[in-house]
Amino acid sequence: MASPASTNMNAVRETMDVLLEMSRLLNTGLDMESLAICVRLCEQGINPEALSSVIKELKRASESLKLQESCIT
Amino acid sequence: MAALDQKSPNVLLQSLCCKITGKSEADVAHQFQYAVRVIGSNYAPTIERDEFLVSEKIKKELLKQRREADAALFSELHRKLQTQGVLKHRWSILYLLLSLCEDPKKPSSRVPVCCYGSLFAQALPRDVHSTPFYYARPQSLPLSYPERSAAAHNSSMATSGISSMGVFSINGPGPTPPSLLTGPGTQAVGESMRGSRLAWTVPVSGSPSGAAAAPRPPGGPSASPAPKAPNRPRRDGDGSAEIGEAALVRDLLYVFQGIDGKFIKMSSPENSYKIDPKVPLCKSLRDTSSRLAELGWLHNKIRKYTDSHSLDRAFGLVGQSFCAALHQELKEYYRLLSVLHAQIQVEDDQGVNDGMESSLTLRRLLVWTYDPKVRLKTLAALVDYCQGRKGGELASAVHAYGKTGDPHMRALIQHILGLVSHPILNFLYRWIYDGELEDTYHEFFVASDPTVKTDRLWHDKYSLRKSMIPSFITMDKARKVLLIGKSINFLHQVCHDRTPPGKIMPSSKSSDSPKDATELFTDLEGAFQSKIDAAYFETSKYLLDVLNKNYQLLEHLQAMRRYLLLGQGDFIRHLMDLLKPELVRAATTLYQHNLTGILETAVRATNAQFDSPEILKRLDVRLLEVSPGDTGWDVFSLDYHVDGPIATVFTRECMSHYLRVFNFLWRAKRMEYILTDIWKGQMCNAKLLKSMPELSGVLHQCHVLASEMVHFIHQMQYYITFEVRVSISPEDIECGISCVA
Repeated sequence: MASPASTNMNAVRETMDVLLEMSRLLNTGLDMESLAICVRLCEQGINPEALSSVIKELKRASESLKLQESCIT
Repeated sequence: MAALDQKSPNVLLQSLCCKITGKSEADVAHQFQYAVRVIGSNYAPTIERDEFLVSEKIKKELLKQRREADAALFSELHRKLQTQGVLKHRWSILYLLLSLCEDPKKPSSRVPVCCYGSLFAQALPRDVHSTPFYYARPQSLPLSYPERSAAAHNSSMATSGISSMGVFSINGPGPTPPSLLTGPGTQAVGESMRGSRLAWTVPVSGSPSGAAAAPRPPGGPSASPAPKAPNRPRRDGDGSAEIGEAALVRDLLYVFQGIDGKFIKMSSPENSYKIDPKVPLCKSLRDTSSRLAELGWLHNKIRKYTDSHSLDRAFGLVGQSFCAALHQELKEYYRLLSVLHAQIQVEDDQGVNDGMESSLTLRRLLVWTYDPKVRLKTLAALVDYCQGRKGGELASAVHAYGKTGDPHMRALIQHILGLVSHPILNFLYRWIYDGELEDTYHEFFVASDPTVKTDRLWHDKYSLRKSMIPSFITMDKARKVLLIGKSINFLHQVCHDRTPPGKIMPSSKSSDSPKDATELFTDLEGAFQSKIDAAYFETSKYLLDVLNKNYQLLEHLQAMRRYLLLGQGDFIRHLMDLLKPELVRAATTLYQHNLTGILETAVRATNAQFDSPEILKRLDVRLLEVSPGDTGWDVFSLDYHVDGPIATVFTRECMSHYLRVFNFLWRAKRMEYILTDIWKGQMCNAKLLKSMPELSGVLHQCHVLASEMVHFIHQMQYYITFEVRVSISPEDIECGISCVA
């Protein structure tokens, strides 16, 4: 039981590594955790277009908030 | 990790929000709600679930950033991913990564349209005093990927300037967003500053106000002109945000082919392409589009002509070759169009990543279509001019159009002329060398009359169709051509001489091809003329030879002279002597066979018997029409039968002329003989009547009268014989024959 599970885990880890590498290549700005969440969401069948727009918006919002904070302070 | 897998999407989303924004769960409530809404509303993807396509796009993206090594690396990773088979929705992940991809060179990421800003706004909504309406297009949730990027690009360009100015106006020169003059990154600043973008609430048809508002902002807040200037032209280039230049270009590409576009339609009453007036377009774009739409109109005209005539069977070979030439030109034009189309496609594929303008602007179209426009104009004018013509007329029309100084136009017309005249030259060569005329559509300038029989072949069967003579063939040449063909036909049919044209013409027939035709026009005077002249000379010579050798034309001419023109004196004398007792009777009692017998006697008795039997058998007596009270002398005439080719030379009119002359001479001769007899009688009687002096006065009068008459007859005969060249010499005959031929 352990070995199939562990091989599964290995495979999963490898996949995540590959994906992280790709994301780094493409300079998406996603770190491991976010990427993992995204992968899970996609595997559950979420529309990637919508998801990507959400992520972009979140990023932008966070940037603007940061800028705002830096301005104010 | 296994435990996390079972989490619901909501939970995951929330954790994502936290992660990215870096805030706690409570703070991200707003964003989380938004995220849920977006995801919920956009459930189904609008693009193809094609993993391969997505990976290709990623690679292209990387290549565009000139990171070939990275592209190769990506391919490796992708391959690895495929072998691992852990993920079920690979394309989804890849697409996600692609859409989140950021070019490290760009200062900021491509941020989607700022409408979301309104929902995320934390700051108080500031009144938008300068430009509320510059998003005329409603910013719905992003649709397909390239469209969105185009939309983002278009409107972002429009807003960046404004928002930057807005920033200035609100915050003073404080924080200088780094990319004020460039990218849409300033939006991020602007939006957050300004808060509520009314764009989300702006009605759809905000374009007129949008167009109106557009010039307002520059006048509005006194921002530095520097950010204004580079942005303004770009805005003008875009026009109002409603119809981008790219859309216009696409439309125009359809119009170029004659298909109505979305905005530019053909209006039949005015017979022109009109841009839908309801469509919001700035004036310059409208004008440029109208200019470009002319190309579509020209294309339609030419297309209509070729379509209507290529199916018309009765149009003839020349017309069809004209249509083929036009079709060829149109094909070139279509090729250009497909190149332009491909250009647009390429941009579509790559997204509008690079550059502010798409590389296919209206100005570029203007430049690239200038040459085709000139060509199409020439062709359209040619089509107009050639309406309703066919055959040689058409060739003349095209030739007339080639008389222009413009070298390009001339080259084009020459090319078309070469193609168009190729059938005509074909006809010509066949006619000259074979004497055959296969002209079902009556295009050639030699016309054959099928109702004419062979005996009238030379004179009536073939004629010139003057309207069909092309303008590059003079009347003289046309006549020569007619003669050549006529001679060949004459030889074939009347003389039954079927020597192949190769024997007649030592020069071989040149291989005719369309190229031949075009070469012809470069050397119209020389080669063509020499060909026709050579053919003419050879054929005529051969014909004369045949006539003389086989049919003894000259001999017949001589015979005519001897018999009909009373050249053979002894025979005529004898004939008259023999006929005297016969012809004094009334005309009605004369029988032809009697007279023929007498004729033959006369022939046998004189030198005429040494003539060739061929000639003698043609000699005959002819009795003219009998009117009451006629004696034999009035109705008698000799006749000379002609048939075959000789009949063509001695036509019926000709023969009747001969007969009339014969009549006249015959009667003059008869008078002469009668007078001679009288003189003979008088001389004899004078001696006898010397003993009767009472009669001497009367006799003297008679003598004088008779002498006068004789004198008169003699003068007249002298005149006829010497002054009027009735008896012509053989040399004169030779000259005459060439004229006749």
